This record gives sequence, structure tokens and C-alpha cells, in this order.
Amino acid sequence: MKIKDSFSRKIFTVFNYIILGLLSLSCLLPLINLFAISFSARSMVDANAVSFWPKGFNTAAYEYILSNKQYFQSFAITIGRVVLGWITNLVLIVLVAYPLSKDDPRIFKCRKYYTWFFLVTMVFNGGLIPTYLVVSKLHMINSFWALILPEALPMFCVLITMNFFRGLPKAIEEAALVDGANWFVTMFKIYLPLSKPSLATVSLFVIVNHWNSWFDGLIYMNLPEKYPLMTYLQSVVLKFDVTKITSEQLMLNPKLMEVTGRGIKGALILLCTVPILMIYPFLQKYFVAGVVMGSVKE
Amino acid sequence: MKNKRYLALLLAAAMTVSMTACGSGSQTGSTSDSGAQGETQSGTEDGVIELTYMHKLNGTEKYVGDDDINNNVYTRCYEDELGIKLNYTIAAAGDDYTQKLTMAIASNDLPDLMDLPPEEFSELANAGMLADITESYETYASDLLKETIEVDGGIQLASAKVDGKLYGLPQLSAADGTCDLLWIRTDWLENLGLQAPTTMDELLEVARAFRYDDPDGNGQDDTWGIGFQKDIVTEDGASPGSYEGFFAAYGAYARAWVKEDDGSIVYSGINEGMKDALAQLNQMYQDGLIDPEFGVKDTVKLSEDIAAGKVGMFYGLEGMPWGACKSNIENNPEADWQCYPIVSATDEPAKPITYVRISRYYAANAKCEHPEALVKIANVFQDKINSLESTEETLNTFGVDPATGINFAEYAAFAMDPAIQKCNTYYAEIKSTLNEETTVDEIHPEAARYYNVIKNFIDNGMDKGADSLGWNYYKFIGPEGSWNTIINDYKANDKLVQSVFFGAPTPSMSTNLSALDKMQAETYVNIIMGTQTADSFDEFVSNWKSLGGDQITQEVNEWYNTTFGDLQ
Repeated sequence: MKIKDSFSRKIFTVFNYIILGLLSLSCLLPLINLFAISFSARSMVDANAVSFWPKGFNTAAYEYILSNKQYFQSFAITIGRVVLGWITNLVLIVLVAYPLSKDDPRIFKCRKYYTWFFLVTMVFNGGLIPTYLVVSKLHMINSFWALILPEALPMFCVLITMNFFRGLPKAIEEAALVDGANWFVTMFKIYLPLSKPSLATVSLFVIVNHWNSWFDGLIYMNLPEKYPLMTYLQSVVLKFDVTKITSEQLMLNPKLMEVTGRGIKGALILLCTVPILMIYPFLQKYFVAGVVMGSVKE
Repeated sequence: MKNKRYLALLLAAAMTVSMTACGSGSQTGSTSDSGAQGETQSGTEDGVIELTYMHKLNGTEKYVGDDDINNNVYTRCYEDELGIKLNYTIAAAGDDYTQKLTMAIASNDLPDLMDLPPEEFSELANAGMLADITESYETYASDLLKETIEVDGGIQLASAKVDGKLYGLPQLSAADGTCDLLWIRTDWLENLGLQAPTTMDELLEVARAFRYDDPDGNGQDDTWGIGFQKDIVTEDGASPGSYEGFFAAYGAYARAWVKEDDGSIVYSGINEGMKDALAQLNQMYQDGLIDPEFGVKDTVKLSEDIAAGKVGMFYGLEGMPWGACKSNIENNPEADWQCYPIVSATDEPAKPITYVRISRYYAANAKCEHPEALVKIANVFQDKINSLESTEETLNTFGVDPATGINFAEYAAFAMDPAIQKCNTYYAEIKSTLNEETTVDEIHPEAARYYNVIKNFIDNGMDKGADSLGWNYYKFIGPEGSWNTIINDYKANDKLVQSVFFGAPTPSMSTNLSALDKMQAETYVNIIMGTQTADSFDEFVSNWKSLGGDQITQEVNEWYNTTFGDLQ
């Protein structure tokens, strides 16, 4: 049966589309502008004449960035931290969320206290300097692990996963237990396969979070060659000063003349953002299911 | 020989152990005292000293191949030629570096050699945490290094001394290059049949014509008389759109400490002439000669207006052909820029102000056993880049690589750029070569590189649209260059006034100066925009004095007398 839209409903829809459209444009246009600037000639960028299409097309900014091995080093570090961080996070999330999802006191006696123990860390943390001191006393300064261990258990993701576990029918688990499975087997063979949407969502959070973190790289790494990608991006966006390119360099390599601060920054922002954008479409279909299902069912 | 190698290996191992100990924060700076010391003292020449170092990066460093910050043409050179293995333990650019440095100071974890901003340098030197390098400097500094550092008669070096002892090497600042010039679009002058201004009245006339007489002939009312940006009270020389050149017309400066005839030092931001200057700016603002949005435009925004051909006149530094003006010419090959001396509003000639801005000091930790390494390393850059004997080949290896355009000199640990005399020397060399008094082979290879570009530009009919880089050099260091036509003239006629204070902030400055600066900037902007009358300037002056300005003035005088007492 087709529901006939009322007049007010139609108006609502129209406005909805307009407002959402404007909202998405406001997210998209800055990126397009960056894209245009990164491919434009210096004289055009300097005159602020570039809007949404490159003027005086050239690729000097990309050549400048890609000819520096720092980009690839940082990229490798970021890939490493995303993969290792994702595995570490996911294992810990599941191991914590599964027991905490058992609200029957006969199964898990002090669940309440454990939940509070974990929840407190969501609201309170040691603060920057104490955390830095801990990391430094554990000899993790300049070490890759400083990027992974301090953030190893994201509590927000535990909550999502826990709620999702709770939403699954208990009967399945009980049937498995009756058939002789132990807790680990039910977790791996029953719960994990059923909670793919939730795990995909959590993975997305975790991966994006690891990809985007820059501050830990900045404070825990003492040399730029150990910076992850976003820390490198941050240092370029804030510190890159085109006047530091000397006149001699310009003379010997006239291509550098087309390099502008804004072009470099735009190009690097795109080079750092596009890879993570690629992941979205693959995980998006799970996204709504993963977040919403966990919270409303039961 | 084999024994020595073995020994070196053993030492390296010992070093690693002590390094690890260092990491725990318990034995700061002890890296070099375990064995290397005994080694060198016993006279072994190829025993390599290992030193840790923290370095502020430019942010544009680029490494290729297997090179990295700890293994590049400079570190290899230090190791091979000096027997010093430099380990960069901390390196960052900009504010990040200051943060890391603060952290290192707080945790008492400073490396052997350091690259320090003025404030931290003076803090550490006064706290006795830096090594006295007076003797090392006397003994090891090459003539060239001494010449480079003491080119101004030892004024900047004096700021690195406490009680007559030298605690660091300053990165010299080219003060002469910080004076303002008046940049004007000569094609607009021609279009309107005007001459370059020589007095303030003429400047106003030109500004009015640029604003209202359609200088670009496009039939639109889209040009400003003169370009200004928002930062008035800044020591970092906001260019283009600086105010110092304009204020100088009235004998005032926004941020300078000027020495009076009686020897006392006063702050020129509260100078009586400033009131007239601000009143004049207010008049120009009311006449519509200044962009009413100047208060929110930074130098980048103003540069955009210049590049887009909306501004035909502004005050700025000698390097302006590099930035907005070059872009302007690429967008519109008809455009042409030339710099002129600043004009005066009174009978007195206008004297531009210059600022000494020492960006960093190189220093050694008091616990470091080899402070002389600092001086030895500093010599290297001089020998490779600065020396007149350096060849094209050394420049290619240690300077800019012609193939990739990578500036290897950025890797150098202590790069004392001979900023002060460089432009003068190069200009003179280029000029004499252009006049065929010398040949390209005789001059410094770096100057020769510039010469070739300029010569090429001239030979090809000075087509600035096609060869904007050539135009750029021609206007910068060539026959019509800013450096020679104006700055040398300023110098020859003794017109440059130097702001005498360039030390670390005095105690009252640390507490009061930012509030005073803010008050000063607000008052200035308000007067220019007419929200305050020019007479309120007097009120500002008395407020400035009572809110800590007098105290700061006193401290600046004390600093001057203690620092330069010996030199006088």
C-alpha cells in the first residue's frame, strides 16, 4: 500500500533535502577547494583566484611531497599502527565486552564493580603530564608501542560491543552450553560470528581513530622520522614555511617555484585523507546496524 | 691500528650502556664521560666522541636515499673530519621544539649540545647549566667563524655572555635587512603620469591617485591607495604592509628601543611623533585610501591583494620580489615593481628602524666533557659553504644539490649563516661581474649562480613575464635590487637606526609586556579607525608607563649597560 504524502510532509521533505544538501556541501566544498589549490599555479594561489577548479594546472606540490621520503616513512608507521592497533583493540574489546555483557549474577558475580572499574576511565584520566610520565618511565618514548598501548582499550567501543552482545538471544548461548561448549567456544563460535555488524562498526571507529591521532605521535616521538602520518601532516600544516626554501634552491630547481604553502598543505591533506576515505564505503553498510541494533534490542 | 678499532668498538658498547642509563633520567649528560674522555686525552686521534644533540628543524628538511637526520652528509663529515659522532636525540620544528625543550629542561634530561631559543638560553646560562666555551672559542674557532660571528663588532656575541664568560654562539641576525622600503607599482605611476614620492605629501598624493584615478585602467573602482595589514606592534616584521616605514616618517617606531643622545634607552612606541603618525593614518582611513578591512587582514591576505593587482604601494622588506610581487607579475606581465627609500613627513630625513632578532643560540651542556665540539662543528659550515675557497663541487655536496634542489645545508648542526655581509658581498661581486671588472670564476660560487640568472634575464631582453625568476633576482640583488639601491644608500648615509634591545625578555617583560603590547595595538588600531581620538594617545602613554612600562624601560637600560659595558 502506498502511503500518500500529506502536504506538510512534502514541505518537510523538501526542506530536509535542502538542509542536508547544504550541510554535505559545506563538508565537501572545502575539500574540493583544497584539491583545486593543490593542483594550481603559485601565482593563482597567491592571488586567491582559485575556487573549485585548478588554475594553471601543475603537480609541483605532489612532486614536492612525494619526493620526500618522510611521507612514505610516516605512511608506513601509520599503516603499522592501524593494523596492530586494530588487532590489539579488537581483541581487548571483545575480551572485556563479553564477560561484562553477562548480567546474570550467577554467571558473573562482581560484574557491577568491574563495569564501574572500566567506566571510570571513560570519564576520568590521568591527564597529559602524568600519562606522559608513565609512558616515559615505561621506556616507551620513541617506541612504536607508545602509539598503541596507551589507547589499547577504547571504552566507548566496549560499550557498543557489550550492548550488542546483550541484544543477541540468550537461548543460542544456552543451547551451546548444553551441548558442551565452554565460555570461550561460545564467544568465538557463537557470539563473534553473530556480531559482525557491531565489530565492523567498532573497527571503523578504531581504525579512523588510529589513522587520525596525531598528538601522541608529537609528544612521544622525539624525531620527525618516527612521526605517524597525521603528526607529520600537523607539523607541515602548522610549520611549513615556503620562505624557508632558499633562493638558491629555486634557482637550481625552478619547479620549486610553483610550490606554495597552501598548495603543499592542500596536497598533503588530500594524500593523508583519501586512503581512509576509501575504507568508509566498505564498512558503512554495517555502520547503522552496528550502532543502533545494540542499543534498542532485547 | 687494529687495536684502536677494537677499543673504539668497546667504547661504543660502553656508550650504549651509558645511553640506556641516560634514558632512565638518572644520569643526564653523562654519556660522554665513561670512556671516550680518557680515550681522547690519551691522545688517540681516531677515537670517536659521541655527543647527543637537540636541534630545531626548519620544517623543510628533506632526506633521500639512506640518509636521515643521524646519517647525512654533515654528520658523516663531523665523524670523518672531526671524530665527533653527533646523535640527534630530539628534533622538531616550530613550537613543538619549544615544548620538547621545556620538557627536557623540566625533567633535567638535556643533551650534550643544544640549540636554544634566546629565552631558554639566558635562563640556562644564568642557572649555570651551560658550559663555559670562552676558551674553546678562542682556541678552536676558525678565523672565518670569528669573522662571521663578530662582523658587527661583537655586539650580538656579547648577548651570549654572562659575567664575561661565553656560553653560546648566536645565530647572527641580519639587522640591516629588516628595514622598511617603500614598494610601488611603477606601471601605475606611469599610467597616471606620477613620480615616485619623496615626501609624505607626495606619498599621499600618489595614494589618492592609486585609489581614485583607476591606475590599472580597467574602469573599475577596485584599487587601494596603500596596503596595510593588521599587526602593528610586532617585532617580527610583518611584511608586506609593515607600519614601521610609515611611522619612521614621524620619527617614531612601533616596537623599538631607541638610544637617545644622552645614552638612555627609551621605548619609541610612546614617542610623541607616533601621535601625528596615527592621526595621519586616521585621515587616510577616512579618505578611503586604506582598505577598511585592514584590521582583519594578515600579511597573507594582503599578499593576495597585491598578487591580484589591487594594491600599488606598501611598506615592506627587501625580499618582497620573492613573494606577492612576483605572483603579481606572473598574473599580469604588464605590472612592474620598484622599491624606493621611505619618505619623511618632517624636515628631518626619515630613518628606518632595524631589529636584531637572534633566533637561536648554540650551547653545550655544563656536564658535557667536550664543549669544544660545539666550536669545531660550527667551523664546518663556514669552511664548506661560507668560505671564498669553497668550490662549486663543495656547494653541490654541502649546499643545494642541483639535481634535486635539496638544500643539504639544512642538515648542518650549527649553520652560522653569514647573513650580515652575504648580500653586500654577493651584490658587489655580481655588480663588478656585470660591469666586466671580474669574471664569474673569481666570485663566490653561490654569487655566481645568482649572477648567471641575472645575466640571462638581461641578455634575453628583460622579459619579466617569461622569466619571473630572473626579474626576481634582478630586483633583489641585481642592478636595480632592493639591497643595493636602497639599503646600501641607507647605510652609506647613516640612516639606519638599530633597536638596541635584543636580549631575552626581562623579568617585567615576561609579566607585563604582552598586556602592554595588546593595549598599544588596540589604541593604535582604534585611533586609525577613528573610534578613539588622536588625543587619547597621551592617555595611553601615561597608562603604558604606569602599568609596568617604566619598570621595563629601566630593566632594558640595565641590560644594555651590563651587556655592552665592556664594549664601550
